[in-house]
Amino acid sequence: MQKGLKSMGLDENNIVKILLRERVKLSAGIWAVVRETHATEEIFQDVIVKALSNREKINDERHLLAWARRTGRNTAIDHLRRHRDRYVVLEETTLDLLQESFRERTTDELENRMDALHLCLEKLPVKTREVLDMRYGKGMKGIQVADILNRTVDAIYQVLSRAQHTLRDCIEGQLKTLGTGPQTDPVSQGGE
Amino acid sequence: MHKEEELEVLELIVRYQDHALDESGISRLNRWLNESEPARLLFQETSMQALKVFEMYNGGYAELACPAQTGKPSGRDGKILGFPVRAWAAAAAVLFIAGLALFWKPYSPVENPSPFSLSVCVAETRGEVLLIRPNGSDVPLKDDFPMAVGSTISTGSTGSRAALFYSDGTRVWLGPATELTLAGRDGKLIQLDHGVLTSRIARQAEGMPLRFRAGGSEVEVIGTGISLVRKVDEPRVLVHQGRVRVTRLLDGVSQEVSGGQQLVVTGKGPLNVEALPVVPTKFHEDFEKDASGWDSGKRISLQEGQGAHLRLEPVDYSEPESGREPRATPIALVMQNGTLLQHHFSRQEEAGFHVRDRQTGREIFLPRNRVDLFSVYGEWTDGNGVFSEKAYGAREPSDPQMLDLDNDGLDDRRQSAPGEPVLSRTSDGIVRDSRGRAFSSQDGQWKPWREIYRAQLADARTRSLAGWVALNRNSRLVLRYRSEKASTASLHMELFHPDTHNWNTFERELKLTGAEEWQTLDISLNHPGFIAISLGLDAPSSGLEIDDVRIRTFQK
Repeated sequence: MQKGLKSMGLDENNIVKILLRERVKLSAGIWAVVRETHATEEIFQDVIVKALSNREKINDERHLLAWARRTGRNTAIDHLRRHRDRYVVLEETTLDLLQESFRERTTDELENRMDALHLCLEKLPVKTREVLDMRYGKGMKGIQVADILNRTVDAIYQVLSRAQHTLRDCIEGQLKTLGTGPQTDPVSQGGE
Repeated sequence: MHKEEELEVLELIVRYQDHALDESGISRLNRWLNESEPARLLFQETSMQALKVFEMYNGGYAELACPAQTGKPSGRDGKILGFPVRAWAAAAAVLFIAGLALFWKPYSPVENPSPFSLSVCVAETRGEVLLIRPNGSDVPLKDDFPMAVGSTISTGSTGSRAALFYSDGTRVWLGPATELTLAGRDGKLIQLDHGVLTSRIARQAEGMPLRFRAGGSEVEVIGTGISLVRKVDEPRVLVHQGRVRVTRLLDGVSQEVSGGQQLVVTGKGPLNVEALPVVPTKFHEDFEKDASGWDSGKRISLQEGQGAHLRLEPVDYSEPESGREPRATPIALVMQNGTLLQHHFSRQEEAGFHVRDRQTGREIFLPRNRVDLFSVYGEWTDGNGVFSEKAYGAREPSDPQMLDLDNDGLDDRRQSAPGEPVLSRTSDGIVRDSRGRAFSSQDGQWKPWREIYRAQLADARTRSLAGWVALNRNSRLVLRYRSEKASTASLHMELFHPDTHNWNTFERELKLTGAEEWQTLDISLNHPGFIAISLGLDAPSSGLEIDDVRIRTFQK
């Protein structure tokens, strides 16, 4: 039997389930190249479609994830080539290092961080959140955000980088107190 | 990694994300990421943050959370998955339901559950989360499990929780010790057996509202506001924002409940709406105790016995990168006397100049008469990137003591630079020139800074919902303040109407006298029905202190 050609039991459902479970890591890897959220979604979907159509060539979960990481990155670079006259991207070795250190983090750890991040985003000042929403939620360019808010693009970058610094501190704080999760207690909120 | 380094890396990342890094910038970022694991972690965090903001802004990845439903291609544009990018309703609804007892006929799950056309998945599970089968057996639930009509989900005691993600963007969070059943078309009738629910509800199609059932009552979400619903011994519905219709199922009597109202579902008789019993009537920030609720503004400690006050902080002021502090190396002199000599100005005295030879580093003394004998080429720079200027000058025959290279009418030997002073850091931490103009460090260059200082309480909810202040016609804002300089500050408040979802901004000028004594601001906040979301103060100079901020709401 030829090695690598026979599927080792990963059916469609399993493939999708694994890729969705690893969505945060895979999407982050795509985002590191393409840096557009809508495009990240599209590419992630493409990866799933390609994985399903190539499922006969996928040996096991480890093989699937390595293949998905590589395909995601290549598709992202293709996207840049198609949609940008000029682009700069991190070096291949840097992307490898990023992906490697991301791969070492457990899904549970990342999920916890995402939960904490959710809470921390809610705590951001309104104006800062507005900038984050425009930049990452709506996918606007920094210069567009600056124009709308009548600020310089440098100021927008400052706001974004300091917001991310604040979020990082907040996440660390949240993780220390997240033992029981972020569930609010409506009994105490109700005022009875 | 120091904070300064973190901020440097973060700014590089932010620019990279915006495709705004040039080759040199990308080279620096590559170097950081290659050499520093903390920098790589920062990069990962920022990627996650960007994706999370997108998810929160666009309503999440509900359909993605249903892998079992996505195993087959949908045929839609070649995708097997669709992202729920439908925007949230302009303001989503939040419902909390707590139930203790049931006294209506329990809902009977359908015999053969069918998948929703509107998909619902379990997510964010913590602790014990179970799917209860019709025969009473249970199975642990994991994230991404698709729920079908008739499904019952149950959470364990303290610490357990779960969420339901609807593909229209609606979110329902289950608290500890909660049990509910999904019913109705698309699972949009949620029957709470007991426990706590928190929901954020996307705009619903007309005629197809989301409904909750609890304790013999049905709650239909009409508006899209933020609501709080609770059931105790008798079903009780408390609505903080938005609008719901409560119906007693026994006899069909119904009543609308709006934000700020509550209703107890009695077993018989009319359903009476009452005002919510506990509404805070004042807001008070005493900085002598705690200023942590303020997201900008610096708490300063005074002498013992005087307590502490809040001082405004610079807005968007960037400190220089390490090693780029303000420097005062203003003058490089090049003497022309047939041969080119370059010397850095060191100091001057009555008899002449001490200069340092650029090549040898040796300090030499140039007698004043020697300078006056030759034409002089001067190069001025402040070393901080604000300016650099070159000029030729010559001894004025009519005035041998005059050396004025920049033609500003002043003897350059008495200046540190031609008409422009160098930068220095003043006691308030701001870099200024000798004329008092403030500069901020951007991209390694000093650029003029629009001087704004601010203290802002961005969200009064930092102390929970009870921190919000509901205003009426008699509400007043009171605070005390003093400033080091006379100027005009601006006070601004963001106000939100929980029923209409209208935002309003309250602005007021504040005259600063520069007097040492505290002054009191006491102004009317005549915005009935609004709640105060944030409070901020901006000033064009530093040294404004505020304390004892209160919003008083007097009853009529």
